[in-house]
Amino acid sequence: MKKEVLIIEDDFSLQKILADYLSNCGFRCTCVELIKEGKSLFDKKFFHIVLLDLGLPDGDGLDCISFIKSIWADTGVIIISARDKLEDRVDGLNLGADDYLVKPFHLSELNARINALLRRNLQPENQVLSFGEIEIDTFFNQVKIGNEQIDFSRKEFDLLLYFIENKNRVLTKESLFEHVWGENSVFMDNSDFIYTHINRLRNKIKKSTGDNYIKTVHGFGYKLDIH
Amino acid sequence: MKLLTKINRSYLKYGLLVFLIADVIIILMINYILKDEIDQQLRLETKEIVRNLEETGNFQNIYPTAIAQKTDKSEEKVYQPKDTIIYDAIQDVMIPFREFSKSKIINGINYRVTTRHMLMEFNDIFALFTVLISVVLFLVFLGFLLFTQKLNTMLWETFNKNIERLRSYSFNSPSKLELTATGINEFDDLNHVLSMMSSRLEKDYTATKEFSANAAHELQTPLAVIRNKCENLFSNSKLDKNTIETIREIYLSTDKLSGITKALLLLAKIDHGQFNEKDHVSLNQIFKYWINSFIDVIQDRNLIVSISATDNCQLLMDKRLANLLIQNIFANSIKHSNIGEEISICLAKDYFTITNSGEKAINQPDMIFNRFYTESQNIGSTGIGLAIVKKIADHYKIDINYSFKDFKHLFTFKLQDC
Repeated sequence: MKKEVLIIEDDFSLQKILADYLSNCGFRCTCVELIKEGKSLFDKKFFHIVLLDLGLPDGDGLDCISFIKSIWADTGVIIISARDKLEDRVDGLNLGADDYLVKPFHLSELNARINALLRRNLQPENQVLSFGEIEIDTFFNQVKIGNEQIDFSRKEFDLLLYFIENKNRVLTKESLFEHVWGENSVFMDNSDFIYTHINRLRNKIKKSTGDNYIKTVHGFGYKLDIH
Repeated sequence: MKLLTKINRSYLKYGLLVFLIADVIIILMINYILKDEIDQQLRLETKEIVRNLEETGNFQNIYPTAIAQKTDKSEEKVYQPKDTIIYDAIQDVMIPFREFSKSKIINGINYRVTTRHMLMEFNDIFALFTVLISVVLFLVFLGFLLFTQKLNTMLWETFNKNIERLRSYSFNSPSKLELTATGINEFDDLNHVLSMMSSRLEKDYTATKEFSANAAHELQTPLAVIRNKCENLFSNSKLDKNTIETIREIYLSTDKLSGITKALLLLAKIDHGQFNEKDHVSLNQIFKYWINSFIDVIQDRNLIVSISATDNCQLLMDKRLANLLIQNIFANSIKHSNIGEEISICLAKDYFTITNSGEKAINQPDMIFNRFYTESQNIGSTGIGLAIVKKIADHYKIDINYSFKDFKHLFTFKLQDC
C-alpha cells in the first residue's frame, strides 16, 4: 500500500516538484495550497506525512499543527519553510511538528527525512532496508553485507543509509555533505572532503562484495547502483 | 546643566544684582531725603539767628550748633550745606555734623552765621534702616527663589516622567509609546509630536524588518524550485559536458544566493536587536563544542587545533550570537588553513585570539570584515562570514584586530565588560 503524503504549499511550482518527486519515490501525494483545504481533508482521510509550509495565504502553518495532531496523532508533520531555525524551528518542534526542513532543501534529503519519520512507528524487524547484498538495520544501526556484519562509523552509516534511501538516484556532493554534516556544511569547501569519505565507504563495500556500488556521475555527484 | 539649575542660577545671579542695585538706590534716596530735611531745618535756624541779630544786635552762641561770628570780609553769601567733623574734647571723639553757613551784613556789621546738626543719631538710624531694608529685600528674594524652584519642580515633574518613558522606549517592546498629558500646551505639543514621530518610525521600522525578512524568505521558494529542477536534470544521462557544467553552475549559484540572503537577513536581525537575550556564556565551552563539530573536517585536513586558556573567558551575551561568532571565526580559520597546519586558540580573561597559518598576508587587511569581500576564488566563499563576526563583535563592543606575522593570520578579540 502506498503511503499518503499531504503537501500544504502555496507555490505551485514547488508543489508540483515535490509531488512529482515523491510520487517517483513511491508515495501517493495530495496537494493543497490553503490551511483551510488541508483541514477539511483530515476528517476523511489518514495521511502518513504532512509537508507543511509556514507562510500560507490564509494563515501561519504553525497554527494547524496541533489541529492535525489532535485528529491523527500518528501523522508525521514536517515543516518546510524558508524561516530559519533560530526562531521558528524551536517553535515548530514545540508545537508538535516532527521535523523541520529549511528551504531550499535537497529533494533527496526530504525523502530521507520522510522515511526516517515513517520508520519511527514500525516494529524493529521491519526496519531493515536492503540493497543488493547490503542489509542495513536502522533500529540497531547495523550493516550486513552478504550476511557478514561489517563495522561502519556513524558518519559512514549515515551516508550509506542516505544512499540506500535514494537508490538509483543521483546525489550531489552538496546534498551528501549537508545530510551528514548538517549546518556546518555551509562553512566548508566540500569537494575534496566528501570525496575521501565516499571513497572510504566505496572501498568497504567493494571489499565485501567485490563490486563498485557507488558510481561517480561525472559533474553531478554519486549514485548507488548495481549495474 | 539641568534646566532647573540653570533657571535657578540665573535667578540667583540677576536677582542678586537687582537686589543690590535696589538696596543701594533705596539707601541713597533715604539718605538724600533725610539730609534734605536736616538742611531745611538748619536754614530755618539760621534765619532765626539772623532775625535775632537784626532785632537785638546780639546773639548768644551755642557751640557748636548755633554760632554767629563777626568777620572782616564784607560779603553776602550762602554756603552749600556740608558734612563736617568736630572734635569733642569731653568725650575725646570726633563727632560728625551737618553744617550750614551764611555770610550776611546786619546793621553794618559783617556776620558769618553757622548752624550745625549732630549726625550721630541720624547715622545710627540710617544704619538700622539699611540693615532692615536689606534683610527684608533678601527675605523677599529668597522666598521668591524657593517658590519658583518649587513651582518648576511641580511643572517639570510630568515632563521628566515622560523623558524617563522615552528613554526606556524601544521599537522591540510590544507596548506603544504613551506619554502622560502635562496640561501645559508646550509640553503637550512636544508629546504629540514625539508620539507621532515614534509611531511613524515604528511603522518604518516594522516595514524594513518585514521587507528584509520577506525578501529573504520569499526568495527561498523560487530558489528551492531552481535547485530541485537542477537536481532532476542530474538524473538525465543524455546531457553533454557543456550542459552538465552549466547546470552545475546554476545549482551552485542558487546555493550561494540562498546562503547570501540568509546571511543578510541574519545581519539585519542582529541590527534590529532580535537577539537580545542575556546569558553567561563561556567561550572556552563554545570553542570546544565547535572543535568537536568540525572534527571530521579537522581530521580530514590533518589540522592540529590547540586550545590554551589562562582564564575562563566569560561574556554576558546572547548565546545564539556567541555561537555564531565562534562558529564563523573558527570556520574561517579552518577554511583558510593549509593541510597539516596548526590552528591555535588562546583564551584569557579579557581577550581571546585565534591564529592560523598562511602563506601571505591579506592584500587589503582593512577590507577583511567588509561584506562580500573575499580574496579566495572559491565559489563557495561569499565573504560574509567575517562580516557576521564583525557585526556581532560590534554589537557587544568587542574590539577585533587582524594582523599577519611570521606566516600566521592572527585575530585578536578584546572584550569590554559585557
